[in-house]
Amino acid sequence: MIRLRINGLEREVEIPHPMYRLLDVLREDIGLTGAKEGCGEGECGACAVLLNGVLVNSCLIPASQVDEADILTPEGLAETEAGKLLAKCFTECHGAQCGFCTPGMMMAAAELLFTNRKPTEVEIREALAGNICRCTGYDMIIDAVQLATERGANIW
Amino acid sequence: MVEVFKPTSLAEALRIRADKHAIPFAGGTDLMVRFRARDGMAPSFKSPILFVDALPEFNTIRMFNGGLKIGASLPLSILAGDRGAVNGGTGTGATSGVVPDAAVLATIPGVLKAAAAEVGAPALRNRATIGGNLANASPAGDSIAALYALSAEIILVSLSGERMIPIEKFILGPGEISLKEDEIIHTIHIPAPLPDWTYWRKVGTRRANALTKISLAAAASIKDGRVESCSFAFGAVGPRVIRVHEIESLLQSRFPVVQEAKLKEIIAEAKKFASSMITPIDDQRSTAKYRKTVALNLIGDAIASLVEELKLGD
Amino acid sequence: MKSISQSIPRPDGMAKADGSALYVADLQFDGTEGGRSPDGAVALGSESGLSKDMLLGRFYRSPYPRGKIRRLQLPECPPGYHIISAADIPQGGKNEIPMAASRDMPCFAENEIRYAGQIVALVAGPDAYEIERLIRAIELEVDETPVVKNIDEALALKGGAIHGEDNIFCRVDLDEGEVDEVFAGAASVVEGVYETGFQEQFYMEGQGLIAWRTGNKCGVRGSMQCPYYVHHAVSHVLGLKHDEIRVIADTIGGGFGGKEDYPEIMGAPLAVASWVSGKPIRMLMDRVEDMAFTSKRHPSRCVYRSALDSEGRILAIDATVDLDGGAYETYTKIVLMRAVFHSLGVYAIPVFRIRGRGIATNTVPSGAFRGFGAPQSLFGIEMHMEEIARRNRCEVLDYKRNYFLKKGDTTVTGGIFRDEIILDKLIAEAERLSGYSGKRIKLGRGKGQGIGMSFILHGCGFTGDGEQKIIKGKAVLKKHRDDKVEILCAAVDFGQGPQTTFRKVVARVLGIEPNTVIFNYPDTDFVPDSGPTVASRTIMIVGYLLQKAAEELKAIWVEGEEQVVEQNYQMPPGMSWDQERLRGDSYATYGWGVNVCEVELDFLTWETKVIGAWAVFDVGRAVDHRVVNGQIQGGMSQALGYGAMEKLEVDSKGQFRQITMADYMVPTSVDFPRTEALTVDNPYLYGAFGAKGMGEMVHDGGHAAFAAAVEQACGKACTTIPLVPETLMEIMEA
Repeated sequence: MIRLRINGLEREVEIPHPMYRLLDVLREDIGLTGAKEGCGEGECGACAVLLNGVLVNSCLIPASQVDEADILTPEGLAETEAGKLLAKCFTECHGAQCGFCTPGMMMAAAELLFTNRKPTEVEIREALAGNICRCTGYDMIIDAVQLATERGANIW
Repeated sequence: MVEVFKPTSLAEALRIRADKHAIPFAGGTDLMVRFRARDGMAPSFKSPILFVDALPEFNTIRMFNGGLKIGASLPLSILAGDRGAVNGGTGTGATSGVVPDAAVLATIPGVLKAAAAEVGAPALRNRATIGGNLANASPAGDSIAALYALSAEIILVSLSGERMIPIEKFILGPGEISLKEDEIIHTIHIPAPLPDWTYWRKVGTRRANALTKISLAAAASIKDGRVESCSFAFGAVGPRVIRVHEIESLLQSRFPVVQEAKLKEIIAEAKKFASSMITPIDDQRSTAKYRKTVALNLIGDAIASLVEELKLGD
Repeated sequence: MKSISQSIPRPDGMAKADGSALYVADLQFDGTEGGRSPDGAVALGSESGLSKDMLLGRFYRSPYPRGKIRRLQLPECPPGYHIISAADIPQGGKNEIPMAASRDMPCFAENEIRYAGQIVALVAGPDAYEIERLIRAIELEVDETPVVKNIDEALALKGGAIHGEDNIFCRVDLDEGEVDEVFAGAASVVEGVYETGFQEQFYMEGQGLIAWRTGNKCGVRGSMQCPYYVHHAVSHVLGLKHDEIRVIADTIGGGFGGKEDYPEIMGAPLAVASWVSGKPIRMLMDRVEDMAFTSKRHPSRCVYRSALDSEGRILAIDATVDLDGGAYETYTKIVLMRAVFHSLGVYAIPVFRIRGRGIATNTVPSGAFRGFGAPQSLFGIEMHMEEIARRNRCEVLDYKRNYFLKKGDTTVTGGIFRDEIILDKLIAEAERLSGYSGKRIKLGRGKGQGIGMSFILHGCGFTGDGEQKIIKGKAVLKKHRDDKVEILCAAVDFGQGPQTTFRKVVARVLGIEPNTVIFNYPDTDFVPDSGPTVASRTIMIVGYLLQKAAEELKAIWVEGEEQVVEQNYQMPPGMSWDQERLRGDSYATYGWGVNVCEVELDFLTWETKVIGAWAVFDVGRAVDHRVVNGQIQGGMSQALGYGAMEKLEVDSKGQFRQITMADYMVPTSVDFPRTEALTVDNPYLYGAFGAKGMGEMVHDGGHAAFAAAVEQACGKACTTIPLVPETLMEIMEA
């Protein structure tokens, strides 16, 4: 049994084995399917969540290791002002195409803006370098983050 | 089903390590990939797991006698100076929540900082640790090459005490390290003096989030316009990172000599030494021929950069 | 009134951004028997395949690459587990995957193995560990034959022929004029060999499907571009009638052609397993299985020989276009047709002979990938034109201009270019944006910098009379009693935008708001077959049907009444095609484009850095600028990846060597700069609001522009892609 604070709610989860992944807790046990499995090897960023406020790939984390941690998933982010703004900017700028990488992109973008309110384009690109997108060529994702930077002056 | 342990003190960790021979597990970014299983199945770990990331002494970085001591679980994002890792704010960087002293971070040698910054991407660096990179002992491990260039020493602890071992003796081969069944990698010691000049060049499979085809890490201490000591370490050109000591003695004995003609001669000589030592392979990421040719090309680039530094010091 | 091109926020954007969009791996049993999600978008409940006793399915794949099957021994199955193989194909069904006209690929391997990883059996059950145990207990014995890894070994008939007598699946030949005569009288001949490698589609969501059985009805749902292709394949394999099959496309995490053919290859055996066991089965491929065993872009080798007169003018071209089709023909013939029909690029060549061959090897069957043959042969002709211009000591753009096609010219198949061709306008814009010509002169040659320009044409829609004879697309608009309008068609939005553009087309005609138009993911129980979501046909063909339907609905609109209008595809007037002789209008119309790429080359490491990318296209008219720009940015990124990074090799067993995300390199956010892009309007009469197809041509030319730039930077001919540093080192040291 592990305890996690997921999107602000205390959750207790019975894990089937000790190295059960955080991604599986979220998707299989809690039913939060916003974080996706793109590779299972930490290469694509589709499973990104914030762990104690820090961007991580949830496919590489045994849930038992982070017992008692605070987790923010794409669903949780979407409930916040920051998440709503980012989602709107992604939608307007067409930063989402097939959408499979988008929740992970949102997490990476949010972590960037939480720590750097006015990132340059180079900083945005570097912050998103672990989130692979095959549809957009990234440029409209960059547009979305830049728009969120401008519009969210009071949020970040 | 494997057992997992989350010790709350170093003493407890060492006891578990000694009793159970549990695998020390920090960020898990290599281990979780290596033991990955298919959907619906548990990762295929065979040995018990010892989570060492939460112990404070593994997460420190501090000055020590003019050198640096880096805790084995320190995430690469902190060494790399990633924005989230050092800026504070909502994201406080590495998941341990430790925010090291900015003055200490400023002393991290350029070669280590640059190498750490080219490992994976931000989310991975937030979990991947310097001790884990060492334990993985990949010849393409970026922080390993940098640590070779910095003549790092690895401090291993066990119930019977502490042992310090030079990195060149610690890494035995791909995935093989000199770690006894009761020992844990505790600290990486970068001895004084910290270098005045460093060089890092990674030739990766792409511009970011890439694996290394070949790398060169180099460092030098400069005194009165002369190379007092230096080091050249090549990554991914053999079963281990290779340090070419002959280049080092060459540069120590011959510098300062910055005339172009002499420089070419020195570079040619350096290449000759390296050429006999590096033995790369063909694999899915690159070819042996490419690796060797580029490794030799980088020597010239690094020596030219060192000469520039010496000129500046004049 | 605002231009239709003015962008609107993506209607599918919010659900994708907030994580609520459900992909096949996200679907869970909700405790109901049937029904749809509150927004109506997702079919739920056990009637739609989602029940609590859903099994997990995995393939047993041949570890051997080639040989006769001597024995297949399946282990005893514990209760609740199923092992399905060729022997389980029900009576009336056929052990064949129907793909275009080809029927050579079996659903389950039965007599022979043709590639390592070929599907032999499917194991289904509740527990992954037991499934794994059963897979390991399967015994397959094969009399092994030497493996054919590439075109050369295939043509040398290594180990005997894999297919027929000569390993040639199919040929596509075109002839115009007396080629041998012209060559005999030529002042000089320029010859070049141009090669392209495999390319992985690399959709972010792996292949995933669910199959289930409800009484005498078989269902398949999940990640797919073409629900009616899957429908057809299931019908063929199970021997079921049209209304005994239901296929639902779910939100799909990228396709690029990779979910055109593979969902048939995967869905047919999965449907058999579900049909036989009576259980719903979900199969999700992990990344390694997906990269190792799903279809890739055909590797190609094109040989161009040009006969020149004493002034250096092209008199005739004699070319061969060879595609590595892999182990089974599948879509190779139609990919080859497109490759051959695009093999002279945007140039009018008076006399030519083109010989196209689809060749059998023991690699994974090659399949659909954005561009569908055109990126291969366009690379060949563009690099060949570079070579000829170089021989003539002539600026390549000036040289190419002499041959540009214009309205009224004859196509390679003897059809007519009926619409305006505005290449000169596109070039003017590309020059303005990129400064190409000035830089081309300034940068010199072999000095580490270069800029290249490539030209693209892309035939829109199915080749020849495919739309008329094979697809027979049909689209329906249904007005509900509450006056909400619903789009009923089989087009899938896998990121390329019909959720946005179709709504805009219908809304614009009817004078309503796009976001009030209902457009759910297709479910064959409810939508007609408007054709597959492929071939740059979606906005032009299906979008146009919807525009016409909306116009009809507007004319008969009665408030508060349910009304249904249907539109069927009709070939544009004047178009004709002879499939036997491959003569006539191979495409209804063409998209056109100019790509420019600027690079720097590091002489220490032979790494290239793209420092500028520009793209100008004639897409008819953009129905949404951002949708179009998204296609351009993404397509250029893929094309530059194809040219520069995406190395995919095979090992001694013919298996791919780069099968993880750590080893197969697609571009990240820092690899390439933003593509500065523009479209020039040139509306097409039979496309939605003037739109032509454009989803593929954005992947047709970036790699050639890149290679041309690298040629200038390194001073040597670059005739093979990807131009990874290892390859460039060999080129420069040769």
